[in-house]
Amino acid sequence: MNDFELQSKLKTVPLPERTEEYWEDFPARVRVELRRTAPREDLTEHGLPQFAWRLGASFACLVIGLFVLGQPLKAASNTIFKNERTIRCQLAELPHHLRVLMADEHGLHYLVAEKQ
Amino acid sequence: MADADEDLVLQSKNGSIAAFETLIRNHQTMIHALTFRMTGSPADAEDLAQETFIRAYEQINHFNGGAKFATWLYSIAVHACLNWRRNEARRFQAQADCAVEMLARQTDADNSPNEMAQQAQAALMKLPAKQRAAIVLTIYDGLNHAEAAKVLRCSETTVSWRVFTAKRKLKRRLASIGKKQ
Repeated sequence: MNDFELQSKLKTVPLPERTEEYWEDFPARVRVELRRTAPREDLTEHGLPQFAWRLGASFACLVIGLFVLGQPLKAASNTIFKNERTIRCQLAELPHHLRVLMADEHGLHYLVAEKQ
Repeated sequence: MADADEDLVLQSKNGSIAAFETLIRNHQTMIHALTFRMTGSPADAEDLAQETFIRAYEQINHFNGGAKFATWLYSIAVHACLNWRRNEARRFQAQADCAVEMLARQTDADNSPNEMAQQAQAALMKLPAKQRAAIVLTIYDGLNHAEAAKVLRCSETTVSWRVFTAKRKLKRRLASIGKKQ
């Protein structure tokens, strides 16, 4: 079989017959499908990355916020922990007079009540 | 036609769905023929033609006019078919049988049985998808190897090799069927 005979045989395969109505309606069907898929495309091509960025940024802010807010608390708890022994001694000496304990860069301060 | 397409593409890029609908009307027959030759199924051909135009609309801003609009559209359609074939690999045999049955029904209805057409369709459907695409583009659509290479996004040598291999297989299959009868 030569190329010409092969081409002749292949070209005997008919295409499916479709009505005029089909060809008239087809562009409209594509248009409907385009409108239907548009929100999905927005979500996948634009919405999803935006959502991911927002989520990531929110998470980063939360982590930074917790870190920043946690610093004074951590510092205070460290101070208390370091001075635990002193505090216990003061509490033992002045069990009913010690009102307020404060810590700053100069160390621990006490507010002692004169009367119970 | 090319100039008309250019204007319509420009309008489509500006968001005119009406202009894009005209482009669909201009090319729908050609794309349906291509998708049918690639799948052998009228229903899948319709789905893939629809998918082709949807992708074309979504990507129309990427069309820079370097090639003809029809060539660009062909490329989208062929790759949709190749991906479809990849996804639907398991349905391959059922699809091929369905195509042959459809042809048989069509020819019976015409009272002019065309066994040759059935054999040719069956042989075509048995080819690997990329070889079938090369045959469809070069034999049915009359593209030269350079044009087919652009559509298939591969080298001209690759197209030539696929066409050569596919023709050899088709000749062998069609000749063996002829001998059996």
